[in-house]
Amino acid sequence: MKKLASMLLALALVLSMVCCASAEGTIELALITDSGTIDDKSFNQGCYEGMQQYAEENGKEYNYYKPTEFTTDGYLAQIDIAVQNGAKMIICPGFMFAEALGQAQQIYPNVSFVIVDSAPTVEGVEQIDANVLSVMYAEEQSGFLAGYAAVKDGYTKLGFMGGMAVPAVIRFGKGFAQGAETAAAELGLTDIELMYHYTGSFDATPEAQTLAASWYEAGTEVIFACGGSVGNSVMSAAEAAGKAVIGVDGDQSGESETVITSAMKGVSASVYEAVTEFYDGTFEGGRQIICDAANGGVQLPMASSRFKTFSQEDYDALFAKVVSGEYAVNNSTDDMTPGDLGLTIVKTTVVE
Amino acid sequence: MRKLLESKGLSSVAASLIAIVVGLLFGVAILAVTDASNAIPGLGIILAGGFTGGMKGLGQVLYFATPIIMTGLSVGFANKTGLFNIGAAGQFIVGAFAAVYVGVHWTFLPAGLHWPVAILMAALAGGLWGLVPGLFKALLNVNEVISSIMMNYIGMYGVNYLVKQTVYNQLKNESANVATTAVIPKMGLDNIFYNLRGESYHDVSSVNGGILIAIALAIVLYILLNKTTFGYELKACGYNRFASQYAGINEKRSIVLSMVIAGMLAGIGGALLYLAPASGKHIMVVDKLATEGFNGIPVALLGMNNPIGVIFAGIFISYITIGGNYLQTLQYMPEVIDIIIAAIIYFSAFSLLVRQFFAMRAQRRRVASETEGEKGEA
Repeated sequence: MKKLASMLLALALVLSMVCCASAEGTIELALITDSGTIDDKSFNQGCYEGMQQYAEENGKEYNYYKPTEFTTDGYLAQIDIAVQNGAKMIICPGFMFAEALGQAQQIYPNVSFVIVDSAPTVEGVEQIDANVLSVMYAEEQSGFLAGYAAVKDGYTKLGFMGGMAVPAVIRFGKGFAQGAETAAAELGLTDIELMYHYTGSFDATPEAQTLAASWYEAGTEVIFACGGSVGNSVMSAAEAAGKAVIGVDGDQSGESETVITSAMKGVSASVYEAVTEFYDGTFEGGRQIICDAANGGVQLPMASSRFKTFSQEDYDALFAKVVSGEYAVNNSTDDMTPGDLGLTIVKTTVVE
Repeated sequence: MRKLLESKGLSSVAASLIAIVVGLLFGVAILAVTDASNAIPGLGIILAGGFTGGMKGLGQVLYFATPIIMTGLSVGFANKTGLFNIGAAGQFIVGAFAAVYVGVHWTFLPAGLHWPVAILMAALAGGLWGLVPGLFKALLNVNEVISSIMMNYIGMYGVNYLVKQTVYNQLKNESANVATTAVIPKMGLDNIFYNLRGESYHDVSSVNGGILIAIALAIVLYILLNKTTFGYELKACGYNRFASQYAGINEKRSIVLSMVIAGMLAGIGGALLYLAPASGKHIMVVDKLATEGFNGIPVALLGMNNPIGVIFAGIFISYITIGGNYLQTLQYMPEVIDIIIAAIIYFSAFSLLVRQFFAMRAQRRRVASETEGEKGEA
């Protein structure tokens, strides 16, 4: 027994010596994930890849951090760890960071932040300090492109399955409905069906897959899967039913043969650009940039799309009209569903 | 010295410590497999735990410990009566919902009364969730494991539904903020657990009075179990239900009450976690059982079902978890860290095994020395 006690003591001594050997980190580039992961095939992954690309091209150290809990305090604590570890530039993907960043921008005035899809808020009021760049996207245009192309390609029974009803997802969905309406009007169609649902999370769940399968069963031809890993569920359902999917955020054509196109927004390009500017010394915070069709922030990946008839020329014509504003897309998020858009051809069925 | 070492209480503590050390060694092995060069500093970070984050880090340890101490007490208390309360997850979440509901809607309550009432309602809701399996067990002899697992799912889906109906924040798919009067006060802890940044900015930990309530409840339970007739009856039922019935103890009442109290403890745990300010926890509407409920099981086992032991076990597991979080600074992937922490906790639960091993060895030695003594006499 004595032997054991002395062994324990010795072990404790060794361990306590080890404890003191921590040093200030040198990892300047950091990304904090939201409740998703960096392999969610969409939003977090896009941001991560943008950072990774720059870091690998230029030999910078980079890392990502996952919070212990997905609350404002949790995000703040993780930002703190990143800063302790040497972070000079922190990427915050998404809406969930708004409040946390509102505080972090004041606590760490010497650290630069990029927040994608949102802006920091202080007690509910938007406030962008000089060390923060807020990047927003015209998701409604991206959704519009996808909806227009799908209807022009011959699909008349559509579905929209969003993740959480955050503003970005709402804009995607309502843009999708408007695109379908515009294309249908041009083609002289009178009836387009649109099933509409928010799953409430960005996770792949059996429930989402079952719902998608039931829509396909009931005749839906293509579902716009708009919410991180929700896409995986919809793709599984589509593969089983032999139907089509429209991806989101990144080019998801590689994920499944069923993906006919993706409503892209250039998350990775924006992050890459911001990081580049940061190291070039031209990073300019205190502002919000909106990436839309005009500056190449949203698009459909025509090279990898699997349309039957919708061609590159059709796409170019469509894109030009979106850029010029001839196709003006409503981007309000007051109403979560397309109900307030006054669509006449597209009949929306909202599934709670 | 030997007598002291072989005393029951100390051997329990030693068994828990040894289980922890074995778990840590296993954790180091995983660290070494994933990234050998950082394994030793990695161990250092795990062991340094909350200390890496200064006073705020220590506060965070207590913050994360609060709910698992409560569920640990819940599981441990039921265990004393011979019941395996695997339903802490459900009791926890219905308690959380009751607290949040009261916190959001019962704003007519005066400021000083709002949060205590919310906690009380959480206890009632949790107790109700414990009552059902308790009744089934006592009256119909339905195994409480099955019925409480089912109650977990009823609780989870029920709460998801009710949150959407009554206290929903659609934008974030979670429960709404509770009124400021329903937030559990810091009780002075914010003056201890903070890091100073810049001139005067206090980077305050999330910890609040909840940890004090949890510790107080643990002490009450300890007294209840060890110093009262009621506690004695509960434990007697745990040792042998039929023998205690024979001895004139109302064993049905004991079983039901034990489950109700266990449920109340888990429910209060939910309240302590979710009665938080806007920057803290909200009930997320996801189809996932509350992990705090299941983490209560290793906490109870590591704490040897002793309420005071549970306090330390909860703080330890929280400490290790926070330490794991800081491992991210060494570029270990969060997923690997989860595995390491789970492995350490897993081994920690072996403390019972270690204690049995001790007991066996001690007995063998006693037998050996006795026979030696006989030889000497001869």
